[in-house]
Amino acid sequence: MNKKKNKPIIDITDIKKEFVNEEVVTKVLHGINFSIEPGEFLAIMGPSGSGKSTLMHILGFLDTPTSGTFLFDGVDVSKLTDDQLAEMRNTQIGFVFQAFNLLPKTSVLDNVILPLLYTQFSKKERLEIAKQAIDAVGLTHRINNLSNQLSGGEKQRVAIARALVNNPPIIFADEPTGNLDSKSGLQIMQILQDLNISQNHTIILVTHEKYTAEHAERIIKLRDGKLVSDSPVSERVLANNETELKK
Amino acid sequence: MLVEHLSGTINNIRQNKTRAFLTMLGIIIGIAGVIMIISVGAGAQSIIINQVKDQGSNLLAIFPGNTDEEGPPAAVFGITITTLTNEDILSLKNSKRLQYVEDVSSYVQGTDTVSWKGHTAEATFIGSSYAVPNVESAAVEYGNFFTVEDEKSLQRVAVLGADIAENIFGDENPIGEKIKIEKHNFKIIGVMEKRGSSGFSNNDTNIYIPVTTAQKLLLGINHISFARVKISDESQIERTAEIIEEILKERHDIDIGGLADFDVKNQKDALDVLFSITNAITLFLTSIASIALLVGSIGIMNIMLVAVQERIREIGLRKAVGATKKDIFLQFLIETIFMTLIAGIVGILIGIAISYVIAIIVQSLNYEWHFSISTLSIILGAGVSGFIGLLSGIVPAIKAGKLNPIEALTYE
Repeated sequence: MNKKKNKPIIDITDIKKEFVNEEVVTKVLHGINFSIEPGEFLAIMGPSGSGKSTLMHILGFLDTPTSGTFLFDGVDVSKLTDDQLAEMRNTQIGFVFQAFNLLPKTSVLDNVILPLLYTQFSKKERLEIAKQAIDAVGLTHRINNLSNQLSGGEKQRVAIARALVNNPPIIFADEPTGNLDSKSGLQIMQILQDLNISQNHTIILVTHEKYTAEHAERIIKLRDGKLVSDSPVSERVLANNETELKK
Repeated sequence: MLVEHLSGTINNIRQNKTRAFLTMLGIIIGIAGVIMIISVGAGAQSIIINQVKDQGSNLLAIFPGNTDEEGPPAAVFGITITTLTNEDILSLKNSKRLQYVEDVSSYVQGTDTVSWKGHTAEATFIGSSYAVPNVESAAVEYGNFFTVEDEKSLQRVAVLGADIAENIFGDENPIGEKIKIEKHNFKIIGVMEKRGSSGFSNNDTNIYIPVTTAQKLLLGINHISFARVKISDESQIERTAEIIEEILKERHDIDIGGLADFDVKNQKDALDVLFSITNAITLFLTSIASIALLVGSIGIMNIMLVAVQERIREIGLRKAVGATKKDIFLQFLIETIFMTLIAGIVGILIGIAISYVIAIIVQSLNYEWHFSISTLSIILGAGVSGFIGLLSGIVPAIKAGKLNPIEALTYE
């Protein structure tokens, strides 16, 4: 790994988030600071209720912090309009969810093409790009299958293809292996690592499993809305080697 | 963008066929109902109007006694008024001021026992002028109608309507036979072609005899029941009616400004009354069908609101991958409009089909029913369904667009 010291793609300072529900204020994030450089593979760990999902929603432009600054590639995100945020979600990031979140009873191709519907690509270009993304996760033979005809591992690969299809610099994976058996989970981690290492995508992985987190280069730990540790992974797990070992 | 929304919509409908069908059903029934009622209304109107028109829209009718402009003639109430005579009517034919009068016919009528070789029947005899075939556009099938000479010399001759000829004579040839009306013998000289019933009377059961013979021999009167005047140029009908009124007033020694003791009716007046009645009925039925349409549209809004709730995760996902508020809003709006438009088109087709079947059935019963679908009703149907789609789609679409993506994504 020979990464140059770059300008951070994500830079957050003193991010706080409160939820107000019937005048009861719940503080979820108590001032978080860190930055992520392009091409990093970062894992965010923490038990449930630690605020890791909320943090991911903020970083993924789905939610806004109560206070603090979030610079994305040098741009202050709080200054962006709703439509600009939608465009950022469309072009800058791809989401992979624990529950896959595929459109039900819809073909693999139509699922993967979904983010492209909100771009200026022509119909022909969309088809081309979507086919490439499906090929990249090895599901070309399932392209016309409906989402409910797929196994869990295949569903998550479709979700990754969908996240990749707009070629965003950052991919968020929220417990991507949480609903999968270990073999399928391994396959997913392999794909994510490959995207990071050979294609230089920035990956942000949210997980509560230590072993899964060790596929990353760096782990941030949250507890009760506070950042408790931020350290590089000393012995990174490489999914490729694992598969070979298992063979 | 529109194309994507549309293909997404089609996908979505394909995935939820039953729901989409039920959503559309209300609109389909409503639109089909409106189309059908308008078409059936026009068909029924055509029956009534044609029956009146069959007697000629170039006819004026003259009744004895005066009535209000709008009301029916006094004779309808069974009042006998003796102010109008055959001579009055004949004077119209010879007047130089009435260049557009083609022909005239006076009428008296009565009911009497008719017998032939032991057969007896109650029949309506019509004392009329020799000009009836021309005035009423009725043809004689066998033999001849009586002539002006027959009329002048009070001949005892009769021309039978098609039905009564068949009733009395069956397959035998009635020409030259003698029938008895009351105690007088009449020689049959002709049989009319079958004309079908018209309005409230059936011309085919009439026996036509010269008006003079009927007046003197059978009824013992000098006046007539009414008269018809055939106009050669339809556009002159109103002007001619005015002149007739002036001439008859002169003959009856009535001042031009005075109240006439007769009444000249234009067939157009009668048509106008019929039109206004049938139009009112059609309007009434259409408004009932519109209520069905309204109920259908509430149904579609309701189902779209449920669909937003049901597809909340999909909305969240679409927002997470870059859909803007407007994208989601448009998606739901276009979906609703598309469904209602499809429903509208299906409704229009079903409405046309039902109207056509009704037309075929009524025509097979030998009525002159015109199958017609007004373009207006189709435009109305398509327009209303599009409008309902827009209206009932807006609320759910706004609701969908406003959804918070995180809540939508994590919705269970």
